[in-house]
Amino acid sequence: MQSQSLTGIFGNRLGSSYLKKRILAAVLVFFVVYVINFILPRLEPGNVVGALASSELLPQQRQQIIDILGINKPLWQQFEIYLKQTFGSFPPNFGVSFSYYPLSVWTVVSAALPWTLLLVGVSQLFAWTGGVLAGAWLAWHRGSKIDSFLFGISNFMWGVPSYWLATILIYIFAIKYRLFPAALVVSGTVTGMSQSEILDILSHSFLPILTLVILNLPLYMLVMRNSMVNVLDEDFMMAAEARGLKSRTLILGHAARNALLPSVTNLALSFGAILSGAYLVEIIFSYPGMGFLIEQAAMYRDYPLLEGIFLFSSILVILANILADIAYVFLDPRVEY
Amino acid sequence: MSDMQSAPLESKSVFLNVKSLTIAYRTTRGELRAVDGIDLSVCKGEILGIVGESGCGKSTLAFSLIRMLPKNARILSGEISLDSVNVILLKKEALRRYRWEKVAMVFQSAMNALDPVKTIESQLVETIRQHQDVSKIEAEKRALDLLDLVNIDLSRAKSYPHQLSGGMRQRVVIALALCLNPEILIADEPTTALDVVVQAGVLRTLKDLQQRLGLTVIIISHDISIMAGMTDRMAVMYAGKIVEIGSTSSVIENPQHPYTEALLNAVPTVGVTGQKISGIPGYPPDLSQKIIGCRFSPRCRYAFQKCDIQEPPLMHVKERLASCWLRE
Amino acid sequence: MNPSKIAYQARNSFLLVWKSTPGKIGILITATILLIAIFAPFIAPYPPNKPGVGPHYGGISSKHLLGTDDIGEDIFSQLLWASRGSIIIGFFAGGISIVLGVAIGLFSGYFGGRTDEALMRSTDVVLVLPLLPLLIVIASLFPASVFLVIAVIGLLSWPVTARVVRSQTLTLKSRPFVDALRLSGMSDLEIMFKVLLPNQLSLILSYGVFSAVTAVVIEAGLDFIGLGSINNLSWGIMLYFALSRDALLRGMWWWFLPPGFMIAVFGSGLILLGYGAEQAGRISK
Repeated sequence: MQSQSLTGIFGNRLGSSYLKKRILAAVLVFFVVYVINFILPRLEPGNVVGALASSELLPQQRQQIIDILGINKPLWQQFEIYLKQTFGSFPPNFGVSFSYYPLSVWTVVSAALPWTLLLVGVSQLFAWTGGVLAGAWLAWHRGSKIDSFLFGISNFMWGVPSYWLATILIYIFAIKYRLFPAALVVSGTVTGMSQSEILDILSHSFLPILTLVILNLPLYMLVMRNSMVNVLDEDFMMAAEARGLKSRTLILGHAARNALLPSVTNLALSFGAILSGAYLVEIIFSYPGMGFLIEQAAMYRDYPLLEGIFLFSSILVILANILADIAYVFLDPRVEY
Repeated sequence: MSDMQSAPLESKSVFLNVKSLTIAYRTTRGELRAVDGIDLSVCKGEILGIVGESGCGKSTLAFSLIRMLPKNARILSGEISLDSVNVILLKKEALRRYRWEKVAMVFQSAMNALDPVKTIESQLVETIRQHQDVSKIEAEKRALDLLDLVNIDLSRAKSYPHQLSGGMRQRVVIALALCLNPEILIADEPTTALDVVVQAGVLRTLKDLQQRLGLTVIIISHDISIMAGMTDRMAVMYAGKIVEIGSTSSVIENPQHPYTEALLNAVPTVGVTGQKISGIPGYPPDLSQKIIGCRFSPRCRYAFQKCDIQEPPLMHVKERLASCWLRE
Repeated sequence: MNPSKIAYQARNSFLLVWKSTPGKIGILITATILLIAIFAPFIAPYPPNKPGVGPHYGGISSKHLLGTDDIGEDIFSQLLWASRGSIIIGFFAGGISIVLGVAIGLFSGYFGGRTDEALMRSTDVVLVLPLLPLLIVIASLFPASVFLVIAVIGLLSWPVTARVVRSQTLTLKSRPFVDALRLSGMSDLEIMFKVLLPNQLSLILSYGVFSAVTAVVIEAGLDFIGLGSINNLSWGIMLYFALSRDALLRGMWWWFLPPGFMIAVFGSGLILLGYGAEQAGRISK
């Protein structure tokens, strides 16, 4: 009935109608976001023109942009232009940035994207893994003083603003004790990946990553702890202990393995909030990711860039959700085919 | 007292011995004695049934044999010895090895005894390899043999629990219980939550296995009707005590304790028309309070004065034991 | 629903929440901050926006508990007054989100079918939208409008509450008493709002607090990066001023530490309140 080779399981699960449904839903969601993205700035066309007027562009450049955007044309025509722009070429064309003229939005965003991915990827890797392990440990020792203490701390972290935490860390590590640099991601420009440059990047990224880890780890820990406490009460755990299985097998192999499932969905659901927190951290550290970029764009009223970043941010969230769905299908054999 | 307990059918050796076992739960109402001074001997190769209503302490007794009592339960006094090893004193690694290698249990909610995210084969293999130093291939072979033993199609070995029917899951759990060739198999309510047809199948499997492997089996149930045809001896428990114990056939044909009699009267017999089925009025006593006199007397139709004053001990009646002043 | 009955139930609910330790602490914290906000004019030693009541960039002193800012305004007074801004945001944004979430959850769970499908699809979309980037886009389009920000946060935070209410409604709906009510002539709306809703109040509160906390933190974030309205004093605006006026470089931790700390404390208070509500709900079942 079930083939045992890896490709067999892989293909079997991935081809499932559940995943197909989820991907279809994701595409739909993306399209809705796409339309919202289009409509928003065009609600107040006066703003766009005004922004152009106040920018440092020359009159011919401004006219060029107005023509490209087709601001004076009827809405549906603008949408046509927008669609053609995006999907007509590769790489997709999202317009030209006002503040980085003549660079296209795509160029600017794709330069910032890797930095954000680095920040979010590394920080969440540590935060999630650490949180899950800590949560499992806490659940196994529930009711102890450490449990109550860490439970309290996790709740406190919910209300802690990421930028405030970043400020504190900057104060301690960069100003008072001068251990790490307080801003930017590299001392100069990145010319290659030599060892000294990588170290430089690491030392600049350390504080931003640390901020996010401190902020998010307790939240993951909380979810895992609660989920694990529920699993430990299940009948099959008692049955497993009765079978004389070793403690480590019980905690990790059975309890944690089952308790992991809500933590995966939690990661997907909170990804939007995680991204927002990351953006704010980038801003305060002047870390050249999408967060930093969106603040610049807001300051200069660079609408094409704002649109582009919003769209990309949404895409990141959608992708995170799909990845979580895929992971879930592998982790939980009960998911309907 | 203990030599009176044996009443074996043939001269088999006693090898599980429970002496004066008292187990109490800490509850908000105080200390509740679920098992109060129980003596029990089990001989190698016999099938013993323990029957009683919910709350009589039979499950507590069963769990104590495998040392899986819940956190708020304590063994107050007594001894459980298997092959002259005092089970109560076992700790950590010795306890871990004792569980399943010596005594294994088929749980009441067998549906939920299996980890939902692991295949049934892997759970068998894991249990084997956590106790014995065998290779994965060897363990897998043993697992398949076990599944075969309980009549599960080998092609289902890599299935997950939710893909199997209730009856099949119950049989997997039985296979799990047998995977280390335990000396004693305890079946706690093996037929509850199964429909009648499946029940019969499971019981048949159990009996078949017992005969083939020469297991010692203890069956716990509130359903006295499954005891006939399955068990050699039967113990009736009420309110934390054994009130009657003897060979199943004789107990069923000729109950010597009013509670046993009432239990039998509550079960209809197929094929007999015009039966009067009676329930047992009243409720079991509150075990957090001290009880004076016979525990069953408030509900007993034969109760007389002595019953309320002094608790009857287990007495020899014919070839078995019962605790009732009527038999004095 | 007569007022004395409502008062009686309110008092009962309060006592139940008070019973649990998290609930107790949560109530204390939230109540304290609420009182600070209400009585700020009376407790604050100085007016918050009066320059020159103290030295420029002054440190902690007996006259100025948290020192003074770059133009000599008293920071402690600012801190007290700023609670108003943050409470209004949390209350209104959280309120909108709860109301929307409850309504959508009830309708979705009760009517099922196409209504449910449609509403759940829109939930999927809203869940995906990253709140901060969207707020930044909106704030740059329509600057300095606190109410717009509150509205947007409220309009985008309902999915979590909605899902919870929906699944609870589904569970309750399957119970026979709902059918009995319908047969006895109760209209659907009546059943939803007079029966199903009151049963879920503790659950709603326990999830609703998360939207309120998120609202306060995110709105403060907007203020912090300079997109908030400067006239509306809140803890986020205080952070903005602190950092843009060199508090960090001057090491004036008494300026940038307290506002963020207050946000965190307020957030924790609300969340603990939510836990208390959840436990109270469990006890009373």
